[in-house]
Amino acid sequence: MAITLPFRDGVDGVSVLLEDVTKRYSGPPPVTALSEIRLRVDRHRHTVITGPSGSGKSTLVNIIGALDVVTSGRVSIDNNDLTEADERERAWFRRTKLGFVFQSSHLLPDRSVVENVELALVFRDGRAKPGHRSKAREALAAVGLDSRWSADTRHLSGGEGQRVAIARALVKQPSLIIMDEPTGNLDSHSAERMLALVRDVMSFGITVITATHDPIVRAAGDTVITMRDGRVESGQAIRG
Amino acid sequence: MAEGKRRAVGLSFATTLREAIVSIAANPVHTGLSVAGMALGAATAIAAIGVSATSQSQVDSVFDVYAQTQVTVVADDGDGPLLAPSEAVFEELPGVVAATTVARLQEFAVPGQSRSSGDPGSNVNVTVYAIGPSAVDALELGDWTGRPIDVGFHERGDAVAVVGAGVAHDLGLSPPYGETTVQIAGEEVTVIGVFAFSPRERQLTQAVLVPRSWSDRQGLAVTAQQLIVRVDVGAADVIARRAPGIVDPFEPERVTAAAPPTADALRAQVATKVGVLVFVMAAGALLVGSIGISNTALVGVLRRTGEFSLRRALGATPRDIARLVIVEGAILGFLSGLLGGVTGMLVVVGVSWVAGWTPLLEMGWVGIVAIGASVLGALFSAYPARRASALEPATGLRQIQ
Repeated sequence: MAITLPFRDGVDGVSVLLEDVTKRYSGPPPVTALSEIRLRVDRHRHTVITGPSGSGKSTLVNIIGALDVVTSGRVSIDNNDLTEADERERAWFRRTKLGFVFQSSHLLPDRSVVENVELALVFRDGRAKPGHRSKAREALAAVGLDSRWSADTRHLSGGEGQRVAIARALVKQPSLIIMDEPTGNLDSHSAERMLALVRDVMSFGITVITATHDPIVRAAGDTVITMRDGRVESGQAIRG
Repeated sequence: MAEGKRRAVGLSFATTLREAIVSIAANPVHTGLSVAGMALGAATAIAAIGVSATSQSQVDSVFDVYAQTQVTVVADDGDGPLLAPSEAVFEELPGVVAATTVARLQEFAVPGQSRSSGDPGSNVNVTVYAIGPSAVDALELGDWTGRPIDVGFHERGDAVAVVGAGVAHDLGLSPPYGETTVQIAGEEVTVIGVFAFSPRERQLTQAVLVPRSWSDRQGLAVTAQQLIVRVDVGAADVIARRAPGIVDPFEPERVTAAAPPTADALRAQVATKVGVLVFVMAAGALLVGSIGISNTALVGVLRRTGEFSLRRALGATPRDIARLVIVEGAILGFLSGLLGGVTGMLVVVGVSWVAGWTPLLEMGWVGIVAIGASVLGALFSAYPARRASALEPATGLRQIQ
């Protein structure tokens, strides 16, 4: 699959930079989900964010994924400051720079496998284009599902659904893929296969950030960041 | 993020339309429920318009006959003496069939007849009218039992009366007539006939009619008087224009002659009134259907929280989401209007077939209703669209794990 890096490399090799990020929800009851987070995610690495439920993992990846905004602090992705970005700017950033994989594959049941993958390209370009189908097929081939391109998504297994979700994230050639509990609905065998796929995806030069409880995923990360009560408890480079 | 702001354009309309069509086609139950309510409204609208237009043309052809051939003349202050002498003048005019004054006298308590013995029964209050010699022709009184008041009775001023069928029943009168009498103002008046048909002045079937010459001789007070001129078709307008000068050549402005509206004006008048009523009914029906679309769209928004959140994650703006919901509403409205319009047409054809009428159909109605329903569908999707666009993607994705 001929996928090229879509985004200029930062000169400092930093993909994500969070400075004193705090996120409060007004409630009721008011909740401080993140408190003065300082975090650096290096480019082309798989960073795993782990911690108990309610520790702030999902909030953190939502903020990095421009799905949510900070209460205070600064967020920078590939040297693009998202802190002051409005919804239109964040939408543009999501459609061009980021890919997402969630616990549920969130495939549209009224579309075929390949149409679900194409949807990411439709949003990126604002309209359907003739080349989208072939690019979607290439992405499906990269996750080993080209033979199922025309299948009804309701007939996919959980593991296959997540592979389609990875293809949907990968097809628009993002600089960063964000995964939130991607193995939460998978058995251990499917989780292992998925992690192997993530390693393949990274070979295209893509940075991956995964929020997870799963020890199998944690063991696959290059860097593991542990959170507790909305704060970074520890950060540890496992590899590299 | 200057680059982002510059390039943050939403989905093209064609893409939104395509997405909306795919979503609608993929949810047949939701689509069916949405379309059913609105289609029912559209069908009701078309059926109401079609049936009323068809029946209206039938009604026109029936009630025009009497309305178009009568001129009613009244003088200021109820100046009866002016009207009576004009009868003969009017009858000389071309286009006039007959003319008569109809003078309303006071109400009298007339002793009724006992049905069993012929003895006087309880008093019945009846309205008495004094009429001219040509009244039977001018008013087209018909369905007689006994005889009408002829010219001889009028010339002699005989104490005779004819009564409407309603009064005859109330007074307990029965044939043979010519022997039965009733007391009016203390005078014995012989009832010589009963009529059951009075198409021009329907209230006369509930009244007693006496010769004007007799009532004048008795000095009975007149409370209201009008001159009814029966004319040929097409003559009403001319006769009405000439009437004031005939009745009072010196002060014609004191006389008012009411001609019926022309057939076209009458039809337009009726059409306007019926049209307003039908429009209100049709609008109401479409409104109910629109509320149905809004309701199912709102339920759809809750059901599609995950989908909308995913679209946002893929880069859709809130405006993209709102536009998708509104376009879906417009398409559902259009489909409803189309389906309902065709159904309504079939109802009109069915009703007309049963009634033996010629259906009055305009195929353009279906198009108008479909477009109207589409606009309503879009308008009533505005609130669900607002709700959908306000969904926080992070929250929505967390709910659907």
